[in-house]
Amino acid sequence: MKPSIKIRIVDTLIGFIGFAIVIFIWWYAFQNQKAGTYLIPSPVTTFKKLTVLFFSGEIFIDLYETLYRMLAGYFLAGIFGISCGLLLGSFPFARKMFDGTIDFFRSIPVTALYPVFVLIFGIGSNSKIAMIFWASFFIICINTTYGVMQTNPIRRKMAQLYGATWFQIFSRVTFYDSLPHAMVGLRVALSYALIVSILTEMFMGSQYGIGAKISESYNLYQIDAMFALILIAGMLGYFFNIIFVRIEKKIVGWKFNAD
Amino acid sequence: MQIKLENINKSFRSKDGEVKTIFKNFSLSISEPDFMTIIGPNGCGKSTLLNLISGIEKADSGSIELNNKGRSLGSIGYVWQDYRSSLLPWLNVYQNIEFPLKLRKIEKTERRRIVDDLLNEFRVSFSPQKEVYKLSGGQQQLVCLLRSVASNPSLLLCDEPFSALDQSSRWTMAFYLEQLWLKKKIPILFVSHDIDESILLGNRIILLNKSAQVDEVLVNRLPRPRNIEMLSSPEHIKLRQRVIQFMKVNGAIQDGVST
Repeated sequence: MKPSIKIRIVDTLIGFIGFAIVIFIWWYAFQNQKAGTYLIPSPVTTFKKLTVLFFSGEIFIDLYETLYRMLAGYFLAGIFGISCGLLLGSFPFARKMFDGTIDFFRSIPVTALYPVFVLIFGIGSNSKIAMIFWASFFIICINTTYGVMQTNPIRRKMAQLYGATWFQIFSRVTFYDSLPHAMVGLRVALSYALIVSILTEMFMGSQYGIGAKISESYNLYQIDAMFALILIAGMLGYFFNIIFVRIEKKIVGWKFNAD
Repeated sequence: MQIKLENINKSFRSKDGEVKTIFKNFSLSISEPDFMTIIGPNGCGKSTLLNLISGIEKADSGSIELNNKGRSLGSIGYVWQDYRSSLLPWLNVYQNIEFPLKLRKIEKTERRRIVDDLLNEFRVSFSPQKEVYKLSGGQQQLVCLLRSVASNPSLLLCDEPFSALDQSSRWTMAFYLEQLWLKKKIPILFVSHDIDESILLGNRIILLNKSAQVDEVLVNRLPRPRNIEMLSSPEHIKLRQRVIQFMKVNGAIQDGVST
């Protein structure tokens, strides 16, 4: 049953208390930083800078660049990760064959592969997208594989008993039954995609992008702008998570009530 | 309708390598479209028998024939104890019932007619558009029952279908099953741990001993449709005493403790 509007408003307000406490700690740290230093800007200056960035419109090109690379890498990883996961989960032989390989490659920190991607894809967007893909792919693939492996055997038997072919069992039972696990992979990978997107902009060099602008403001010692941009990165992750939870509930809402 | 099992051998290998024989040269022949119930001590092979007949499990040797032919997929309906696992929670009531028909690629209009007929015939009180996980246990098992007969099977197997339900839903569902048998005249093979349920529902009660051999077949001549008051009828009590005696001999009941 859905909670009443009153309860939802109260819950939201309680949620804001957490933010208020963090802002207070921030303000306290700003007030008490060593005299003559400017390591932490005031929350007010930062929020002012944030509004300037949005209202002047100068942040939108950076947002676009970050999101474009992030979503391109993420969606490619989603398509390939789910496909590979479904195959590995369905065929034990394939799983045995690639289990060690996948474990090995996913253990390599994506940052260590940065020179390889630059050599192959150049210094433009493609190498960044490839890194985002790499970071997201294994999480989605492994979760989908486990999802397929853990599908309910009674459901498969039921379909088999009613005359389903292998493909019908796969497409009408196994696929749907593995979706909740695949969604967990997609959700974790979404955070990774944003992290790697910003990271690559900061360290691989880029004219535009939230990461590039954080790096630029750090180099120019524009501390308030740097904090405002970090807040934007945080907001992006936060809103993506909210959107994803809604989509997840729409697609696999049954999982929260069934089984 | 005829079910013929000849010289069935079936054994399982446990994880520690030990081989446990369930059926050794087991034969059974049923030739009437009857409501048959099977009672026996734990581990005597009741569920294995149903799985062998349905084709979910393969016998090590021997032959199983249905209507003088081998079994064809889709010709047998099956109702599991774990109704939650056997339903497809991502589909609604209507879609779950039509699932076997869809697998057999029956036309949409024909599917609609069959499902609507079933819903009307059994006076289903909940919406066919409702998500199955939002139904009560009894209602979910009713959906399983309707699904199992949607494709007009030549035999219906029930493996302790009501044991996960509360007492009142259990009897409601038991009489639903009787109604279904009376209307559809599909032969039923019903396994249950509940002595009263097995006697009251069955026309013939097969007593399977701990060596997985048919000990005796009892005949229940109580008139149809049956009701809960018949539990205290002399005929029921007489059959009950015979079953209890059989269970004691087979170690399933020891001085008031059911094992």
